[in-house]
Amino acid sequence: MSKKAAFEKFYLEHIDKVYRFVFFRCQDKAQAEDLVSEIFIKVLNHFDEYDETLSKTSWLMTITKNHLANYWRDRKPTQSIDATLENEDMDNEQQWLKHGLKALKKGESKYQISELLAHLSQNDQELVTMHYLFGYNYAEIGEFVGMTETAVKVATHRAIKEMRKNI
Amino acid sequence: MNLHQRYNLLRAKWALAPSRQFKIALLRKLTARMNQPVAWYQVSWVRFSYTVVSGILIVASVSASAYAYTSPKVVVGTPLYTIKQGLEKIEEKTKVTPEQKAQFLLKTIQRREAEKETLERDNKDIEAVENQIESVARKLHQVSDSMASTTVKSDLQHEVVNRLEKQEKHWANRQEKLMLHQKEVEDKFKEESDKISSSSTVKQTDSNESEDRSAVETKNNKLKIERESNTSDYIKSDSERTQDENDD
Repeated sequence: MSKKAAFEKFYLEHIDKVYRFVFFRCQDKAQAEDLVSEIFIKVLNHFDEYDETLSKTSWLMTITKNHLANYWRDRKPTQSIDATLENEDMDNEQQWLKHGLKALKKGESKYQISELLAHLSQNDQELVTMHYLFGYNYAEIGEFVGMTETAVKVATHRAIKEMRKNI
Repeated sequence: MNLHQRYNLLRAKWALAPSRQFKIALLRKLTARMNQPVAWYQVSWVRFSYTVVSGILIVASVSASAYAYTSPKVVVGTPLYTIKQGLEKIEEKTKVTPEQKAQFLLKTIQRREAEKETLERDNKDIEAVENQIESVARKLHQVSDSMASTTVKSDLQHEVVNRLEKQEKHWANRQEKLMLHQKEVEDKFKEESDKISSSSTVKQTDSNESEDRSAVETKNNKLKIERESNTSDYIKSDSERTQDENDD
């Protein structure tokens, strides 16, 4: 397979997931599009250097996370004090889930997603979000969180059961 | 999970998805970028080799400078000597107080002497180095005068005085050697002139010898003038110093 074909295949496989991942964090369509463009340009520039022994999804996730971390770090000095206080959680990469759910509650209350997830632990929320909202499969989530595929599957099903109880 | 929940999650997933236009536009942009020919300086191995070469150059220049600065084997006439002198000039400019200057000049004299030893070992001309030592010693003399008016470390002053005394002795030896050499030249000249006067047979040879004689005389005069100027300079500086000491 030529490099072009390989890259196109890779792009089509991952663009939706990466976009959801970024958009969930920043909640701004234009900003998310800019960030995703930059991430894929980076991926293209280093596509030849990619180590085949590693998972491509993990590699892409690492690039995405690093790019977002740099973005929040560079953005900080230009923010107003109010905006900084408001986005305090958002700037922290560890708090992405909390902020994303908060934003989802504001914008998409009719889907009751935040209400559904509110009763879960942070780990379970993360698993459900990654699988049901971003579209990552269990094996990929296992690579991100350092668990086996089966363990992720079991944990996600338990989280769903928990959600059902709380309805 | 019931159907309603599943539907809600699915709708949320759709809401987070990118637009079709964006996906197509980004893919076009990336494909166009991929088709662009890469400039030679953007090729990874070229960039890597640039980094390596510049790293090697930096390390080489730093180590060459360090070697030139510290090694007594870097003497007049070697390619690194210019770097050595440049570094010494810079170092000299950083010295502000008379004490610092004196310490630096003492160090410089030691270095020049080490260079002189190297030159002597290699049977090379030491005239240039000796002149440099002379000039540094003169500077040290001036600095020691300014040091005398200030409260300085006695060790340093002692060292400076010792060095100057040593330099004076050296200078006296040099003068003595110069005078001996002068005397030898004069004796030789006398012998030659005697020979010339005794054998006045052919005029042609006479004229040639007179030319030789005049050449020897000129050389002799030059040496004499040089010697007198050196002596007067040194006597002058010495008398000034003695005057200062008396004043103190």
